[in-house]
Amino acid sequence: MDKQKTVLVAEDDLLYASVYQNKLTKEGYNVVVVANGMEAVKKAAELKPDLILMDLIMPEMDGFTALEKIKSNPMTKKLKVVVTSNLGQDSDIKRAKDLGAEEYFVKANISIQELIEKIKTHIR
Amino acid sequence: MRLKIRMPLLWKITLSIFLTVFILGSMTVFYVGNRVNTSLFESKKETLNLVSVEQSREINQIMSFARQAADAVPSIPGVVEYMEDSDKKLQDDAILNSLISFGSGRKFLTVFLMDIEGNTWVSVDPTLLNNNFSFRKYFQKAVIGEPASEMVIGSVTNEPGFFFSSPIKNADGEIVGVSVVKMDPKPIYETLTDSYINKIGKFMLVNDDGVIIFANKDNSLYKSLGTMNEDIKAQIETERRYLGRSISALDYDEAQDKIENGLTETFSYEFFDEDDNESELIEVNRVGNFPLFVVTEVSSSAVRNVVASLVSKVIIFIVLVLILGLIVQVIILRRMLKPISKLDEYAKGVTNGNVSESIKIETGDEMQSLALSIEEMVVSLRNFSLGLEEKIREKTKELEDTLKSIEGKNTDLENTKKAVLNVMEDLSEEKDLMANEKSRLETILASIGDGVFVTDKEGKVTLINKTAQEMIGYTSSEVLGKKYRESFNFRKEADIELEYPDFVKKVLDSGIAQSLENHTVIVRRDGVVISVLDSAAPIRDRAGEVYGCVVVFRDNTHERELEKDKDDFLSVTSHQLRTPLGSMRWNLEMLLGGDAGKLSVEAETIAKEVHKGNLRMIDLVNDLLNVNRIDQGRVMDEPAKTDLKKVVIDAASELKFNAEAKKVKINLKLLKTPEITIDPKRFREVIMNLVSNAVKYNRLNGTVDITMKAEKEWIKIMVEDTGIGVPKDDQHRVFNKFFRAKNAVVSETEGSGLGLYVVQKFVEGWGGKISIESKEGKGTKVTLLLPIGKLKQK
Repeated sequence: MDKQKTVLVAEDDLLYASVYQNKLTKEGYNVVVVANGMEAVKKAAELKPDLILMDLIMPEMDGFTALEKIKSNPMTKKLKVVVTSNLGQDSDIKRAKDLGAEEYFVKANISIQELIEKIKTHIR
Repeated sequence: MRLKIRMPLLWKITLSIFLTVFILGSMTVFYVGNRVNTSLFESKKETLNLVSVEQSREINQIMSFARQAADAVPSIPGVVEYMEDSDKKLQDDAILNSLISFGSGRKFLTVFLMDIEGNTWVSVDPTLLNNNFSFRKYFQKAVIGEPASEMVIGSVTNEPGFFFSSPIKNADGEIVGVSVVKMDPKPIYETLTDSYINKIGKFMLVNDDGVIIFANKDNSLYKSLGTMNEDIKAQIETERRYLGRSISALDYDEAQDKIENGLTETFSYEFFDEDDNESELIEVNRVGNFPLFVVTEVSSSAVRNVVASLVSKVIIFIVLVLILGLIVQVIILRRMLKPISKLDEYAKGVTNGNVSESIKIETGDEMQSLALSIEEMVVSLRNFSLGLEEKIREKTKELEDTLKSIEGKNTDLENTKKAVLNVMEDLSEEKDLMANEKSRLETILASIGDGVFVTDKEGKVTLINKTAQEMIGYTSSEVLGKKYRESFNFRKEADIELEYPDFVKKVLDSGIAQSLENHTVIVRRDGVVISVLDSAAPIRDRAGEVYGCVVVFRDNTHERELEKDKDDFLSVTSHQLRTPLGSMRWNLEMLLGGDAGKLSVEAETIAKEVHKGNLRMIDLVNDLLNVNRIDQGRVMDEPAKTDLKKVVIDAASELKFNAEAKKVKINLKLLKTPEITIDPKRFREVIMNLVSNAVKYNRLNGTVDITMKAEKEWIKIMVEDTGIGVPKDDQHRVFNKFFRAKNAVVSETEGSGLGLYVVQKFVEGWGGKISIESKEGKGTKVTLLLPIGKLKQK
């Protein structure tokens, strides 16, 4: 068995967070969930996860700022970040990609199965 | 001014002949006179020379004869002995007789003998005895052995004579005495006076001192020719050689000089004698070897007089001949010119209309033939004039006709002029109207809230209104006549550093109106950035040629603010709506996926329905967002190389469940198409929209045929169903926002009416076309065309 992969999930909405926790654990990943950007940045540096799922609208520090911090820290800048948010404006997508996001998913527009499949392709 | 001499032809001819003859005659007389003068003078000179030379020759003969005789005296027997006899007797008879007999036949005046002291011993003329003539030149020369001759005026006789002396030598050659012969000069004088020389002028016989010893004019005797050598003159006077006379000088200085210097040849010269007031010709000739000269003088004026009289006679003769010739000429000319008078009369007659007469000239020369020619000419002229009258009549008629037609045209012109004046009146009215229109336009432009400016063909500003000036911060005087880009600083909001493309040039070049992209700004002179909306349109003349561009732009800062507020609102709203919808979806999917344990059939059915509604709501939110984006023209296209076939297949398989639910069969007929670059998400959205509609509004057991192929410049995608179709009345509205056909609302209650609107907007954004064919109750065919060329470039 390979070493267990870690997925860091930054998500303040509990309903989403539980779905991630449930589904990703079932897929065999070590899932760490944080509820704001600050925590995400901290945990990213601490855990060096194999993938970070980043929500954008979060209290204390939003996803954009967190993404920026992760990507500007030499220790964490190589970590893969996939944005999952319900913001769907073109400007938001562009901004996130410009900051270094691998991919951008509007949560409401993708089924959970589909999302899990996409996540798997990034962790491999 | 030209002098016109009015005189009959006869006189003209006469005068011309006279003048010719006179001029030629005068020239001839002058030439001949000159030649005659010269040659006469030359011949006179020659004659003078000949006579002079002849005279000196004759005198020489006489003198030579005397000389010979004198030389014979010492040879007379007894003379030498007598002279040697120291006891000789004065006037010895024997010797005297010998001398007398010697001289008798020879016409000598005397013969005498002298001793070496100069004493006369024997003399035929006894008066000479007991005289000593040792002072005489002839003695002095002879006593030293040189025979001599001299003209001497006898000191005893007081008569002139020629003395010839000879030395008397004894047997030893010693000179013992001198014999002298005196010759009578008369024969010489006679020779001179008898000759021609006496008739032509003066002549003189001159000795070697220059003294005149004989002349045909007495007043010159014993005078010198010219001024003498003073010594000789004094000697002569001392010796009383000319009976003690003083020798005065004539004015032949040149001759005197020549003689004193021992002249041997002929010498002649001409000089002007002031005393006689005339020109004179002088010639000097020596008589043999004797000290004697013949001098002749001729007045050259005399010669000239002769010539003058000769010339005047010739002139008189010529004049006489001229007069005579003239008279003859006049008579002949009169006869010759008579026919001309006749011709003149005839011509006058013809002028007065008398043409029938003929000219009677029978001279048999050119005059006669001229007369005939003139008669013929008159006849033909008469015929011609008759024809001419006829022609003039015709021409006059033609002219009258022409005048009439011109009058007609004149009336036309008058009418035209009136018409033109009317038009001009209209034009001036038109002009007033235009002026009014212009001021109206200016007022409108000034009061308009939008910025307006107009350029010419080069993009130079020709008109600008107040609003535009305020928006750019330049006044019209700073802008007019200059390129609009110098003052209108259009930029893109997204990239404010870059200059905006020259859209006016685009309009001018293409002739197509242009709208500026959204988010265009204009940077005012003071640097303030103003968001603007604008459009540019070409201005055409009547021929359709573009000659300018009008640009209207408007400050839309406020609208942009509103728009941004709306965007923010939608962004927040959609987020807020999606968050619960999303979590509902995932949790439902977990339920349906069995993550929360197996559901009962009933529970599963309910969960599925909820999931369906949930998805529809999500779609609705998405559609609203899309519509907003599309309406603002802010569709962010992300073109990429896309495999269209794959996208279509995926879309079809995604809708498989929906299709199976209605037992609809999806048939794919996808041909190979060129690869193009297109935003794959949006393309997928388009295909999904069309296919889901085709499934949704199909009947049970219906079919959906999807075909795709390349057709010329297009990729053609057709989605054909066997559904309810679109009623004819609704077909033109299917692409309208929120529109749903009547029958569609009945068959499917759910639906936003935004699908085809979004599809159409996307397709048009790619430069493609979309069309619909439908028959109610039979089915619908949607045809999509994508331009290969355009999409390949991206």
